[in-house]
Amino acid sequence: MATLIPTLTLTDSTSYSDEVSFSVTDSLTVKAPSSSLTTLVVDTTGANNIIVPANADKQTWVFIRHTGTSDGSSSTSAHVDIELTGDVAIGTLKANEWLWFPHCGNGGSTGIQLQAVGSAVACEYAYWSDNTAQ
Amino acid sequence: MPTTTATITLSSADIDASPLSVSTTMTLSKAALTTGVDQITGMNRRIIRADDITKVMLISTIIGGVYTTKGVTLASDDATVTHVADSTVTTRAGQPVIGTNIATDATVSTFTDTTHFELSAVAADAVASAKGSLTIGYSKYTANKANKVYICNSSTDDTDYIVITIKNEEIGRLYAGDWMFFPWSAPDIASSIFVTAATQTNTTIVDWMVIGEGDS
Repeated sequence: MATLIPTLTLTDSTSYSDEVSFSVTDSLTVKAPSSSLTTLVVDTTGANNIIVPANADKQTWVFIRHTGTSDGSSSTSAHVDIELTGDVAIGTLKANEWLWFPHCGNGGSTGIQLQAVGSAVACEYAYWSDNTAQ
Repeated sequence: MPTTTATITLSSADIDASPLSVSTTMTLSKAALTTGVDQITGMNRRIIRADDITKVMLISTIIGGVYTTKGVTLASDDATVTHVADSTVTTRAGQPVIGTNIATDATVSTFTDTTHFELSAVAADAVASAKGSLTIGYSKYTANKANKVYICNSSTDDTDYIVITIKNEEIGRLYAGDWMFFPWSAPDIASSIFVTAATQTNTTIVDWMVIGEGDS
C-alpha cells in the first residue's frame, strides 16, 4: 500500500465579485491494481480505448489528461469523450484539460473508455485502486 | 472575460517503484473556443441527514428552477400545447419541458401566445384534456458545453461514503475528505447528478460547484 496525495487548486483572475480561490487536499491509501502515468493515442472508436477495466471489487481513482496533441507532438483541437463502457457519457476533455474522479466499476459491469471525436488524440492516464472502498 | 484555472497535483513518496509527482494546470474555456468560461454556481453545501438513505439529486440539469403550467391539453402525436394563461411567467423558445408523455429532452420550440406553445417533439400519448400539467424549466445545462463539476465529501467520519451517480450509472464513491473534478457533458435533461449516502451513520456534508458556460 502507498499514500497518494491529490490536491486541487482553483483560481480566478477576474470579474466575479467573489473570486474563486481555494485549494483542497486529500490523502488516499492506494494499492494494486494500478497503472502509473501512461500515454495512449485515442482513436474514434470507444471500444478500442478502454483504459480502466470493469472491476467489481475495487474502487479506482482515475486521472486523465488531453495532451493537446494527436501523437505527442502535433497539436490538435479534437476533443475526447469520457464514457463508462455502459455508454453513459461523463464529459468531454478539450486540449490540455484533465479530470480526476473515483470509479467504482458499478458492480463489475462498467469500465472507462475514451473516444476521440473527429481525429486521434494523445491522452495521458493513470489509475490506482482505493484500499478503503469496496 | 474571466480566466479560471484548475491545477491538480498528484504526489506520493512510496507509490510504485519510484516517487510520483504530477502537476498540470488547465485554463477553463468555453467549448470549441479559447474564451474563458463565464458562469459559476458558487460553492453549494448539501446536508444529508443520517436517516436520509435514498438517492437525492445533487446537481440538476435544470438551471434557475421550474414552474408549472396548468390546464394543459395536448393530443397524442401532437406538439401543440394549450394551457391556462399565467401572467406571472413568460414562456420562451428553448426552455426544457418535463411531464408525462413528454419526450426526453423536449423543449419549447415556439412560443405562440399566452395560452399556446409548440413542443420540439410530439407527445407519446395525450395529456388529459384541460386537467394536465407540465413542468417547465427556465434553462438547462446544454449538451457538450464546457461545464466542470467539483464535488467534495466534507464530512469527517472516515467510514461514511457517498455514491455519485449519473443516469443510474454509479460513477464512484467519495469517502470523507475525498473530492472529484470532472467535465460534465449533460447530454440530455436526464443527466442530472445524484448522490446517495446509504450507509452513513452521521450527517453527511457535500460541497459542490459548477464552473462553465451553462446553456450559453
